[in-house]
Amino acid sequence: MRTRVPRRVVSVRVLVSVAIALGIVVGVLVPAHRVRRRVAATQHYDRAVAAYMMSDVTAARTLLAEVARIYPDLSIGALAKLKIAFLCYDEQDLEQASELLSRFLKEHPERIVHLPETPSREYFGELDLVAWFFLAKISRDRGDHKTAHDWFKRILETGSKNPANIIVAETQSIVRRWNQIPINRLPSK
Amino acid sequence: MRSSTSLIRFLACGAVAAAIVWIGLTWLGEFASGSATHTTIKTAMNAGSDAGGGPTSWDTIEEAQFQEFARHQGWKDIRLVTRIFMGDDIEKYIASQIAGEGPDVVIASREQLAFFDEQGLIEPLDAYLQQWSDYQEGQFNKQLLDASRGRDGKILGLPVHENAPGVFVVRRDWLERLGLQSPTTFAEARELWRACTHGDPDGNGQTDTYGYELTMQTRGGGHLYSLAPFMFAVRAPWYRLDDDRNYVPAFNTPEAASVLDFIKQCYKEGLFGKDVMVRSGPSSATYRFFANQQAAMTGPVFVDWFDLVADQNGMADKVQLVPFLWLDEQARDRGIYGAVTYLTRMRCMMKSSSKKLDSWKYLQYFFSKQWLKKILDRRGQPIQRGEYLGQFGLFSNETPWRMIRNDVTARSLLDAEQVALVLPVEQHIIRTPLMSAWPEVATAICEVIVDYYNDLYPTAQTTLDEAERKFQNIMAQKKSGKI
Repeated sequence: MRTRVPRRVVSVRVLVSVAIALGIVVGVLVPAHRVRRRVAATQHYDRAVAAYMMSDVTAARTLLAEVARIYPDLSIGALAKLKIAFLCYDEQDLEQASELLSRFLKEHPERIVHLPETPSREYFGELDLVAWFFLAKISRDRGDHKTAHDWFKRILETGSKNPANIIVAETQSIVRRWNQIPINRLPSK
Repeated sequence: MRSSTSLIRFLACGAVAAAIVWIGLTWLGEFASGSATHTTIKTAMNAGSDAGGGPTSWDTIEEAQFQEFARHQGWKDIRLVTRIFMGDDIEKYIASQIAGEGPDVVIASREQLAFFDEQGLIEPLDAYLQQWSDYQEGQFNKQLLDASRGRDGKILGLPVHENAPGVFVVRRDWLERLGLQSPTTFAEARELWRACTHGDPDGNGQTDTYGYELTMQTRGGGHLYSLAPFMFAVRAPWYRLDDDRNYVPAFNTPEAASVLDFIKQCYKEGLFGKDVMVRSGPSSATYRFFANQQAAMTGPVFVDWFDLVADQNGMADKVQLVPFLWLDEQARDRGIYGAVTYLTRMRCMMKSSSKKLDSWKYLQYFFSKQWLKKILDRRGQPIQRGEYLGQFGLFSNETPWRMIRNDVTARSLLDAEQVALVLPVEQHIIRTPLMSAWPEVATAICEVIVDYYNDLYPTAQTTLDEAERKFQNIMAQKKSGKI
């Protein structure tokens, strides 16, 4: 003879089952959503790179700004901000580049390490090093060698020890050359 | 009643089906007639053994850019399609010719171009160029055009640019540790190589380093590539064209014999490493120098390639260029030197093209100031532009050294210090003519030279005599059509 299970127990069982089911759904969906978001961010970023490859710098800048705005929590969003600053530097708009780089450092006091998810040749490593590097170059371009040297020194002292980090490698190269030239004879560029 | 209803249904269904078929056929007809209004220029290039094949994003971009350019020029009826040959592209090319589907324009290596020329497949560009106002105004680099001439003196194709002169590279950190100066002569180089082979220049407590990174591979003339900077330094390029435009050996000289003796002695002393005859790893010795980091020197390296590879291997700060390595002090005093350089892949027009004028339009487009400036000025071709942005403008390579057009000056991304070092080498460049048989000839010469290192020939002179004999045999066989 079967004993009747109390209704309260049944309710608890149902609740537990629903909770487990929900947990599984959430456990799968949340990471899936994150992955999907990262993929979307990378695709968005790649569109910016493609625009740049096609010599459309304006479109590239717009797309990079979108990546930075839509994905502020991802490293690619922060990277996009640096790319916009770099494009300003590349166009010799040192004021704007300097402002964007300083703002980047304020907005991201914690160190962000970017690891690319696509096979294209892309910077990977600490993003603050990039901001420091271009601030150093801007100082150097303006003839402020002392500030430039301080930024470069900071990169070498606190930056990655990975020899393939292009920022560190280039900084080492610049500092080596500087050490061979008296500071009052340093070139501005 | 029922039968008339089903007849109506039947007719209605038939009408709908007929309408669908008619719309489909009309659409197809429009598509077909639309494509018939376009002339399609087919370009082809070698994709090596890349199993992926297919046009790359770069090709797709070029096709799109050409479309844009053509629209501006009012050439609305021309389209560009890029095709890739896989593997042995010469065989593929011949197969496509037989099938009547050959490309109009081919992007070829020096040897491929010379091969096509010998087979009578190339449309010389002289007549086309002479009618182009840009050429008439002297906008094309004469030295590069001359280097693009075939055996009969006609221009076979146009390169985009020429590499920097080949120079040597040395471990700066090892020099500093050993307290030595960068070498300037063969003898000084040998002293450095000895110190690095028998000492511990990397300070790891082991004698696991050696003097010079080179390859002894004979296939495809591998060893000759390593030997080239030494042979060119004594002005013994492998071959030249004589006054009758026949290929003749240029390596059988007393100075070249002294190079072979020098290399042999270094080999016997183990200055190239104990395993040099069987060494594995990257097939290019210059890549291996950066990747394995066991040797003190290598060559030839090109300054427009150097930074990127050095950086990729964390060597940017540990190496420096050696622009000159003279045979001896006398050669240095008399300024006798030579340096190797190479043209980039060249674009040529095929004689079999039924759309030569349109193909010439494509070449005019590709070598126009507007396009070359766009793809090469500042940040390189589209793929390099992607790298330029990706790497924040650092180490994005392929800055053109010497452009085919005089009126396109690319902003140099090269290190000014390195450029200043290499510029004096420019006046010593020896440009070798195009020669299709070079891979076979080079392999044969290589085998003889490596045999000499292994004592199968008594002297360097007999070795060079034998190499010259093999050179002549291969050329004679080619002439008689035996190979």
